Amino acid sequence: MCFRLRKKEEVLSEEQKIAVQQMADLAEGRMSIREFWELYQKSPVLQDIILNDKKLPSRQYIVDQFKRVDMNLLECRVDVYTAVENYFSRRNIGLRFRNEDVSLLCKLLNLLPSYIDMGNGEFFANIMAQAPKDLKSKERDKWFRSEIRRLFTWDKKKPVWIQPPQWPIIDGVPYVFSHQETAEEGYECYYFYDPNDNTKTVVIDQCE
Amino acid sequence: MAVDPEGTAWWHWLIGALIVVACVALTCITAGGFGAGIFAIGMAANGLAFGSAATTIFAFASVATGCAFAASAIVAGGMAINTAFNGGSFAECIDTFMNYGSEALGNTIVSGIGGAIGGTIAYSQQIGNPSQNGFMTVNDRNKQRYHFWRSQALDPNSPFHGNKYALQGKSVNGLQISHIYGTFGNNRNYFVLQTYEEHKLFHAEFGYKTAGGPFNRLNPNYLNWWQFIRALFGWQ
Repeated sequence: MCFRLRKKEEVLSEEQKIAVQQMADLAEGRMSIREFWELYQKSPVLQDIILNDKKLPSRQYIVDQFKRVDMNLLECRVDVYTAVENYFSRRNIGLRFRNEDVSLLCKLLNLLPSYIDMGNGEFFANIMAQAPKDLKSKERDKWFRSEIRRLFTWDKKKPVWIQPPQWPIIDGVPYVFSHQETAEEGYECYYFYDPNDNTKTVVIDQCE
Repeated sequence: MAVDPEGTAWWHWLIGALIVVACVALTCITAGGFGAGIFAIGMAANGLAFGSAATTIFAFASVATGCAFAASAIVAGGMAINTAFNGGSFAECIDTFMNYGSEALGNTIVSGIGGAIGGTIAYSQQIGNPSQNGFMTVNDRNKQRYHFWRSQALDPNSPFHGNKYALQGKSVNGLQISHIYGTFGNNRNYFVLQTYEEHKLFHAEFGYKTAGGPFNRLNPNYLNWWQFIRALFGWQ
């Protein structure tokens, strides 16, 4: 793999070239995000390239994002990948971007119905991982959808969210949606309960 | 010489005037009184919705029909004066004025329809229903959320550029779109991003309903086109 940075001012040292090559390895799927993250934590050069990139639209945003990274969460892994992907796309460097975690997240986002939020993605990634191995891609999608319908249930009607969905999943158990009502003050209350022990919880949506 | 072949042109003026009066009367009736109706018309003249949807629509229509009718009278008056300057008799001047009645009626009707449409839009954007849906339906909100996050994902200058959630039109990190101004100056296209907690705190301070309560406050970013047009003519 070889690539050139187009701007003249971006002349890279040997160390930086190695770091950028590692980023390209991640971007093109030759390295997993976990492997890259281990390298990143040990390499001040990699950290400098990503966090002090002059083309970053908001340095603080990515600094905060990287502080919160937890490699056990699908969302965080994809955030790291996206930061690297953006480094190349901001420079119009055409790579063959591909990554299993990103593909999985995008697939899950497509498959999830609009009334369920993805959260950090880990819960749904685990469901997908339980799909029978012998299923083809479309069959697996179908299986995933039916699992979601089985797990996320409601008494009468599904919730109509005003803001992004916040379906409670507590201790790995999606609660059952009971009903929703508008409080006198104007906010919206969504009532859920635990299907096992009937523990109730209320999610409040702000309106405007 | 101006001719009124059917001799009924004055009816056009009468019908035009009746339309204006009817709009004002309906505004007062729907507003619940003469004072409230006149206030609603005053608000409409400033581009602002007041009261119910019907009141707002009739108030805007009153302003539009009144302006169109008055403007038509000024034009007809000018034409009558022109007739007088060209040696026309008093009767001919009156005929000239009266013959403009059909145009005046047409102007009044078309302006009334335009005013009613303007009133509908103003009510929808500034007041809406004081319910949980506020001034936007759930569908409107979903559309706005989708388009906002998609635009952020595709904008290279946005911190959310390339974000996979945003690319699908979904909220990033649970951030919520919050419309932070209430009635009178409300603008559905003006909003900020808040976390769930920030949003909750905001409403705890300012209340919830768009059509009442402490959430009622002017949006300094709201561009009132009617006031803008008036300012062009030096009327502040």
